[in-house]
Amino acid sequence: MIGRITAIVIKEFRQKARGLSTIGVLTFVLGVIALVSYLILLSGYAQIESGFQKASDVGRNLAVAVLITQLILTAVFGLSFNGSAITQERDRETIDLLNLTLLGNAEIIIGKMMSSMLYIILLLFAGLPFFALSYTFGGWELSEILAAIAVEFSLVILVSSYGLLISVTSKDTRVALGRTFAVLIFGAVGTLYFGIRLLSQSLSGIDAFHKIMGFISLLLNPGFALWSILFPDIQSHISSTSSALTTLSANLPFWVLAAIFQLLVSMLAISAAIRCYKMIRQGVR
Amino acid sequence: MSRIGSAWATAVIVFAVLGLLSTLYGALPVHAQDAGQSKDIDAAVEIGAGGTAHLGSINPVTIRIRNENESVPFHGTVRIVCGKMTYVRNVSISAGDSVITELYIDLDPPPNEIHFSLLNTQGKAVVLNKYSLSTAARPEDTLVLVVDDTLGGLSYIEGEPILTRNRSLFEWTHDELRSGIIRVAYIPLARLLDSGAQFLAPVDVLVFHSGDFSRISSENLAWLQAFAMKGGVIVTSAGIDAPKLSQSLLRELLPMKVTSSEPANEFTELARFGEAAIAPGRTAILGVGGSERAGNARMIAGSVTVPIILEREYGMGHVIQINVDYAQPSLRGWPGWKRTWKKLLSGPLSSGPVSGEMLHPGQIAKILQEIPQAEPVPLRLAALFILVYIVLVGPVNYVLLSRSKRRTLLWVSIPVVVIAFSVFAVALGYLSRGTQNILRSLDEVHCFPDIPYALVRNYTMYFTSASGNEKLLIDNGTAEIRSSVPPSLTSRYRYYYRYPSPGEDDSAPGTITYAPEVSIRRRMNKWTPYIAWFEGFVPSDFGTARWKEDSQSVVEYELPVSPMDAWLISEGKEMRLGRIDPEGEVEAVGSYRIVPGTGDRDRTIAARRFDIIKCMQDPPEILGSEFNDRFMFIMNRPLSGLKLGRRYVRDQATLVTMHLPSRPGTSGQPRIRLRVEDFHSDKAGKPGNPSGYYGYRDDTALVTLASEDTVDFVLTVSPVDVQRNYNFQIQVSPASSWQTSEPFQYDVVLSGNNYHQTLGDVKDESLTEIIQGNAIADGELGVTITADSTITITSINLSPVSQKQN
Repeated sequence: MIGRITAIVIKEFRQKARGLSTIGVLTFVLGVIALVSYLILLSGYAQIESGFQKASDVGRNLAVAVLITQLILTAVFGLSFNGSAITQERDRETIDLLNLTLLGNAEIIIGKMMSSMLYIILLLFAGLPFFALSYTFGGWELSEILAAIAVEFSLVILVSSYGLLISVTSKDTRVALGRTFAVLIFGAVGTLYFGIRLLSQSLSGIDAFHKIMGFISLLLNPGFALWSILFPDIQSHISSTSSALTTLSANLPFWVLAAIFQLLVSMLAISAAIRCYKMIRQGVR
Repeated sequence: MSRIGSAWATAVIVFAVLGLLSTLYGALPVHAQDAGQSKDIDAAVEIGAGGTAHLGSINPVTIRIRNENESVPFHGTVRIVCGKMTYVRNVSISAGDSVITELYIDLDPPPNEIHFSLLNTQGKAVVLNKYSLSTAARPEDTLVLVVDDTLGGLSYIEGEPILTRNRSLFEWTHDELRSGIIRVAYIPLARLLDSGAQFLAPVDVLVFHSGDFSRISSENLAWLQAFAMKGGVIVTSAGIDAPKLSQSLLRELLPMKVTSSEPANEFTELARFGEAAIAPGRTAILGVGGSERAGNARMIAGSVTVPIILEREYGMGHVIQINVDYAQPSLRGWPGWKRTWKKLLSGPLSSGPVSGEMLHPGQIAKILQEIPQAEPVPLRLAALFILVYIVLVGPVNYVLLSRSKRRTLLWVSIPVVVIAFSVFAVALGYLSRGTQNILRSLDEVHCFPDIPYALVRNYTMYFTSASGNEKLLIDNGTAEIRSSVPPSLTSRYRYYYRYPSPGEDDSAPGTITYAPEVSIRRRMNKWTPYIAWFEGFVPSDFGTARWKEDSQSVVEYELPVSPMDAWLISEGKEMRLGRIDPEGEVEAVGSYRIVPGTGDRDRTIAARRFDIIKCMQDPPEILGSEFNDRFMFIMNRPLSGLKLGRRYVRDQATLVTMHLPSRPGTSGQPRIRLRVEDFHSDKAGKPGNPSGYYGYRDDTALVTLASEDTVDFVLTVSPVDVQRNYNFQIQVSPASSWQTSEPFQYDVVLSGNNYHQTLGDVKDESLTEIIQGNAIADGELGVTITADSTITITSINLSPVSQKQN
């Protein structure tokens, strides 16, 4: 099975390497990160000059800005790449050829997901020199960045699996992309709202509905996991919102709990995508 | 099966839409839950020292919590949300008990409000409060703590306004009225002594009435001295127990030592002071025999033979000795007591705490961090690095692989370029930031006349070239590490711990660090400077400044600075500095220009900053500057013993401030303080409006007024020389960032003792007015400024005109 998945990945990689889009997307992503970094450095140096900030503050700000930019770009590209993975086969009318191969449903779905995921991971890896640059400013520890990168990886898996599910259930790429962006926007806004609502419960009352939604949002939105890494004081605050979180986070950092939860959700989405693809192959859809 | 996928997408959308609807609904319940428990908990919060917050700096927050439930203890968390910062502390209170806890919050930049909440173990808020900081936080009350007065002799003054103000000028507001209310609390001496220094944090006045004073230990004495030195007022009114008081260790603080007590019926001086007659024939026990007095003791009421009330300054605080017991039945009903207490306390309480005398930690932190290793790589180099990287990894990479027709190598070439640039960036860091560990430390020492201990605040910056754990050992048993280090100095304050001595419970209320070993432990990041900050006391072996000559033109100080003896001679504005050689000759080692004692805060800081940098970069033996009521000098030797686990390149200095005693034959240099009474703006806080009150300290205000805004200041002067003229100065600047075409103009109203002066339509940025001493005979000058255009007030100052100019 691994060999067949690898074959799909290699085929996808060869295909991607031939076009200009791979290097174009990479340059675009790095360009956005570079622009954000430059703006941070520009304001940071002015703050250092005026004595309001230290070099270490600027280094930390730079690392945080690069992380957040990567997080957003990962979500956008992860969903769109995977959202079009199956629909493109339909658009090119190659899906029947794919179905005629001896590849199993799971192998096709996981192979497609792996090829997109590895490309996104490469995009993340390309951000390493920015972290190295911010490291020379001081202000953060390697362990913090490694934890943050782990959060980004769990997001890559989450958005890839969800994108594939949307791709399998959409008629064409246009519909798939529309759905992915709807999910992205409403998912981000919804989880942010419920998460923040739950976190601010000490200053206001909160009912059971908001509490459950908030609990799921905290675990689902990688922004909160990233927040707990960059500002560890908030970890106790997040944990105190739920007795379940308090018990769990006694042994594990919050970002690990969030990553595990996201992996579970991803597994559900992948299994759903495989079942949907099986139905397509059987001609039910 | 497409339904499953659609269900997933729909669920997320529904999930988000519900959130949006809830937001729009906007009527979500906002209230404290668990009301049943909240009935048992009473919490009071005081923001700032003595209840007055200095916006733009670090402020203490004193929290008093009482568990009124007599059977169930309370465990929970105090949480203060201030701007972007959240401060958390766990509290445990026994049934029916109360705790006082203090933490430090950063009000820089000034937040609009502070949220206080007390959470129970379920995380639910049992107490919620919001404090607006659009103007200065007002003290809740003046807390007078009375020790061992079982008769409750002071209860009659509870609720009395204590600060005297000109009511016609400053109409009382509710907050102002609250700020001047006395609240009296009682405590047995034994409990006070067991509770420790932290218990005194919210206390303004400590009254010793009776009790077994022999229980006062040297440790108790140390923190009582600390209380007074930091601006607290200690009053003793022991009467029959006065001799015992004088035999206790507390005698170190007293203006006069009492040897015996005897019945007396001559209270004419007391009646005059209290402005109420005392019925003839009343007899009370009076402490007498005071031949031994402190150098700065001052008689308030009574005579040399019958000293009734004496006072001495102790650091920034005062010690008042009443040699008669106010609670004795014969004097208890005397109506003059109210007036007496007001007169005794209003002056000392208006002088403010010692924190206003200390340098701003942020200023010192900036100076200490000025090392080449803390500088980042130049911006141009960083920008060039980013640009070259993107061009190489993207377009250049693609073109090269396309020409060689090996585009699939893209998946190898990209990681290679990424790793190469990352390694280059780290190498660049090593080149620019170095491999040294650096420690820069400054001890700020305040010595006060006739006090054997000096208050010391240490600021230490340490910078390491490798990450890891570090433990800073402080070789001063009295060191009190701030419960939370200013977040403006470091965002990693979570790594601060105070290690209690064996058996000491750090979380318990009423404890202070008198541990044999005080340490700070923290996780050090690579190439990241950190600041540690602690306060303590050291024996004042710097000696005491004394006036050697009372001539007008030549002033000579004798400063037996250990280990070297230094003579500092001031002639006009030039100061000669020397030290005594073995033959007794004065050897000059330098000549320094005196910074004029204008009291200008900015200039003062600038001068200090210059001195500190100069001292650290090119260390002379000593540097000095004179201000109007103090003398400052810097030694390039460390005071605090600091031990660290790694090897550091050290750079340490001590900044000593000698608070000068009164000059012989004069009433002494006045202590002048600025306080904001009221800030009135109809527009403050509205979008686009510049009105804002940002804080004040000593003589420096920072208030921006829009047209028709009004601010009321009070300048308190103690003591006042009515024979002398005073120079009133105000600095105002146009608020450039909001400047409009309207003319720069404002009105000033000065108000004092039978004195009222209106200066209308002032168009100058600097305004000077000479005021006669009798205009401020009651020690206060009211200043009301009304803006006709958008202005920023930067400084308000009152200084005595020199005798020659006078």
